[in-house]
Amino acid sequence: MGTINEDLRKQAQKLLANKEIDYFVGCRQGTIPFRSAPHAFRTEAELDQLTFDMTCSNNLAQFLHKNYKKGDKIGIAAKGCDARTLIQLMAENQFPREAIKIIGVPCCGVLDQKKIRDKLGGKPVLKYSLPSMEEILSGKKDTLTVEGKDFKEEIKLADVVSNNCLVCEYPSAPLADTFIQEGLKQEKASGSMNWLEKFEKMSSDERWEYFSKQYSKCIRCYACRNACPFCYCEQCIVDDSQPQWFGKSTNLSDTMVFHIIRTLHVASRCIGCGACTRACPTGVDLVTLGLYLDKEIKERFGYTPGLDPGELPALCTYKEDEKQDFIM
Amino acid sequence: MKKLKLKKKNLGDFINELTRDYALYAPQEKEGTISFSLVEKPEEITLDYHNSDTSPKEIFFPQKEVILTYQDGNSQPVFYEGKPFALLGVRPCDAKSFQLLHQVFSTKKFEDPYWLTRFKNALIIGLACNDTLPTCFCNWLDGSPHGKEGMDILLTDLGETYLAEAVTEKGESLLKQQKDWEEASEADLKQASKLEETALKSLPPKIESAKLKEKLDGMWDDPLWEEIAQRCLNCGACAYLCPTCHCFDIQDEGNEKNGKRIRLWDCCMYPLFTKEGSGHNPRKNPADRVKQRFMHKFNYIIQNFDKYGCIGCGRCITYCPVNIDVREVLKQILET
Amino acid sequence: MEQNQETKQTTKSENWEPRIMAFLCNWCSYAGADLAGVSRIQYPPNIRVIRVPCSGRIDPIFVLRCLQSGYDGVLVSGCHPGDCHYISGNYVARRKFVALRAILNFLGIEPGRVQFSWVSAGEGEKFSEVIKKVTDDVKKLGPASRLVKKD
Repeated sequence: MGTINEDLRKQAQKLLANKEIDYFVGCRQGTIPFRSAPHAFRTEAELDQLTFDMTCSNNLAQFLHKNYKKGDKIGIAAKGCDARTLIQLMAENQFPREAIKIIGVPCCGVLDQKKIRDKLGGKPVLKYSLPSMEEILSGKKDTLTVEGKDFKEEIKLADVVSNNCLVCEYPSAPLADTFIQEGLKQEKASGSMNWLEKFEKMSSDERWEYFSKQYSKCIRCYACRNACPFCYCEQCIVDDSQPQWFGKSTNLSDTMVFHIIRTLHVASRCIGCGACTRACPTGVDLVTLGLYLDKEIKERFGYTPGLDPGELPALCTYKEDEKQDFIM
Repeated sequence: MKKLKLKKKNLGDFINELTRDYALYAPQEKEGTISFSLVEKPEEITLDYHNSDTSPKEIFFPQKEVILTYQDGNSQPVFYEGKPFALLGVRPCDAKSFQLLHQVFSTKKFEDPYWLTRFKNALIIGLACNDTLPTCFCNWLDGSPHGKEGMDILLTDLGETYLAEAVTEKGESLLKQQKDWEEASEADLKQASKLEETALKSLPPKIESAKLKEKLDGMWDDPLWEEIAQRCLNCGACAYLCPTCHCFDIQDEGNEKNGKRIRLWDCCMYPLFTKEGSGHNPRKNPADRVKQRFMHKFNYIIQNFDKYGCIGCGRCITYCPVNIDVREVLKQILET
Repeated sequence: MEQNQETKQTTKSENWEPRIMAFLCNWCSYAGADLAGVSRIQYPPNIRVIRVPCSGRIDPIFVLRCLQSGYDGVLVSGCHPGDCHYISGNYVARRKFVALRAILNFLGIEPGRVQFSWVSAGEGEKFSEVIKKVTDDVKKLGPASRLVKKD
């Protein structure tokens, strides 16, 4: 048994060598600190660039789905959220189970670039060093070191991990063909701070104020929509022109309606990977709304998306005798 | 041209003076995002910054601008009517971007009245970069961290003071009014050029940018575009943060009686950007749209305006969710 | 549905009357409203009715668009569970309403603004009660401001 990365490369290499897959979806180290690039590894020679660590914040299942063509056989390094996305997409008949070889990787959350930036007050990071996944997962180390022009700091990983990772209930792939280093499998987010509690304690006025502030930062670039693995409509409702449902400018009302609608369109499908929030260039808090709705749906319908490829999303089905306390 | 020294402690007075005659915009931090906003009080400004998260082009070319209103059959164009704009603390790359945008919006064939109303009489006070970001690459594209292009005055941070150099007549006359600012000494100028040297050294080694256009001429069918499009999300983050992107869409909001026509930023990454009334879309594939972005910046603009369509600010590198690094793309273009 | 003269007047006047959009399903609630009419059962004149084939036809965007355009309240009404003309339209709608309601509440839109009811073709009386309740609730909340599209 080697390191996680060595094992991952070995697995991918095996799959490619045996022609079990056409390509392997994984991450490549990025050109700037804390960013990585999703990549389709087609040859064994490329595989030495395949890495997995806390900077691999993209939803690889989104990348896979975007590039999937009928008949493709694809391997993927899947965190818990990547695997759940795949399962959910399978439930939506996007690709058959046999087409995907899921290699589960142990995950301890991904970094949020913006949190790091805020923490350092915008000072650019020139060098950083992350402890190895093994060290983090086994609880031996919980800080990362960043270095800039005239500073060197230790940052607690828990402070800069994505918000959705803090409440993640499925850090490991619920469905996988192989799992890398099973012993390091995480069961639940270690810091399980309930992110939503803070909002549930707020008054409705406070929440309105919070979300107005958040959404007024939106520049309507649609990075959230396009990074979302479940926003794969041929034409988005925003782009409809006859009728045009709501304005396309940065008007707060229009922007809010866009985000409400987007959240509703992925309701009971969103698995809370947080790709939307991390993709947002202006740092709008997008994942909170989705996480809240996820929780509501779970409480009401007992449904959690991304666990069973044979189950329909809660909003696509119904039960006859359901609680309807809010209906007159 | 005049070279004076502004003591940092007197900056507040200078700002107050500017706000009298101008609508002054300067970098301000709100909710963790730095952008150029209207200055009401001098203390809101942060000049100790690297670069704004959003580009200052939004002052002259707002993301959303009402250009016409109509009521009961009568329509009226709407132009900016406030005080002329002054921008304080613009980085050399962004100042350069205004020059390009001005060229685009005021060609011999057509002058854009909305841009011109906002841009005309604007005062641009730049701030040289002593400290560059790891994503900066202005040196690749005819820029410099102490470049003066597009500015009226260039400020250089010398520690206790700012060295203020007039670049245009307009900057010169403004500096002439500053009776209590000291003349800059030889030593100050030496210090400034030393700072420039250090800043230049911190930038990445140059590439053969001059060859980009020619290379791209032959790259219409190159597999490179497909390769980038594999991971490109086709979102507009790069374009909306880019200081030189200038495509827009016109939208009408209202009913049959009254309403308004607004100009909104648009982006060539969206499928709707080129979709025609018939339903046909000449740039249907994501790869075509990715190609358009790079072709426009490093080929078409060079052909039309004889300068690069990119100024090397690096915003798109910082914010691209899937790490499409324009510097890498340029290197790949040169390698083909 | 654009904001017209009517809204502008109502929001500033002191004896303000709310404007409420009612989406009624063709087979039950619309017929219920009809019955209320022919039976001369009184109800507040604050609602504007849009007839839809089924409560399942209601896309949340309809509701949001009403709130954007300045409607002070929205009512969505359909057949009782089990009575849907299309068998399951209202069951699916019910789940959709749960999500819409949850999201609006969470964002801070007053819960009384958007309401739901089941009214059958024989329930003229209930229809009038529902309208009275919605109108009262919205009156208490005052004119809509959150989510209303301003410049």
